[in-house]
Amino acid sequence: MSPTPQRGRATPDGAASDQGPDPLVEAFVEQAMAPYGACLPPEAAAELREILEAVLETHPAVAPVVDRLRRLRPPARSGARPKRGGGEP
Amino acid sequence: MSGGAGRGGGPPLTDAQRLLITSALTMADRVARHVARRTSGADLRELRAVGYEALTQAARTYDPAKNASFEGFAWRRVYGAVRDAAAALPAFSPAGVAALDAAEEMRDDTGAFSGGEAEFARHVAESCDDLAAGFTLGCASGVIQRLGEEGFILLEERVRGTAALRTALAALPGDDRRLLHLRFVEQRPVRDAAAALGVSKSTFDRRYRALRAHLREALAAEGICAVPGL
Repeated sequence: MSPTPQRGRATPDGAASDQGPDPLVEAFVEQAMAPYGACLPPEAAAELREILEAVLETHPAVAPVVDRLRRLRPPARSGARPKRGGGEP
Repeated sequence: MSGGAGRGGGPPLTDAQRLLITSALTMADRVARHVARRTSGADLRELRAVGYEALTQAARTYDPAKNASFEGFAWRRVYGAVRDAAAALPAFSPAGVAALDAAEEMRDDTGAFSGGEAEFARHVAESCDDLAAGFTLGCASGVIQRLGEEGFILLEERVRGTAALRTALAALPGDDRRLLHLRFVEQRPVRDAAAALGVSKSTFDRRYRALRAHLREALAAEGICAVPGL
């Protein structure tokens, strides 16, 4: 059986919801992968993405900091996406 | 979860081990929910139980003299166990396993009274970048891995070279990019590539040599030399 990603937007305490990918987590993943995307085959890129998402959403040294960042930043309006390139997520 | 003997048996937990478990219950719960979201048909309660069991085992085997923080030590084991329990997910590659091992050592260095948003963002971005660089290095050839620090330098050069080449290619006219695509990406024989462009073989050869020289110069201007194939 193949995996069925069902990522959801995180609530302020990191709880799952089904509102789609968390933009903050997505932005950090994209930023981290950007320099290496051309060096990785698709399956390796997918694996790296999964690990980064797991660390960002669950690792005790990272996820609480992401939660703090989320509380400091106002939620994006419906449909809005974080800016890419040139700055931190 | 009981504070006594673990579900798999074993001696009763000490007070210190119970404290360790209590401090990491939230993490185990987050891991279970994270994996459940990624897995079709996953039973969250079952994943939670697996996570708590792995957490108990982590508390039993944690040795502060040998291991980094309990949080990272436990996360590695809980995440591995819960993900394994969600049988739909494929096994990690050696590079993925190495990245998870490296993640075990991660620490939150922001501090309780840190500088706020910018410092939080820096910590998260650096943690992710360390992971991505380590994973990519792990995917590179065994030769690069064995080179250690020198391997990291080679990887950095490769990443920088790829970015510079992309920029140089983007600045070329469409016909020139097509020519290079035919030779480099599609790896067509010169005669086929020339025919696809509607030019003679000698014209193709001349343009191909000129383009390679141009790209070598463009990359050299960025401090990148000896690009294979150019």
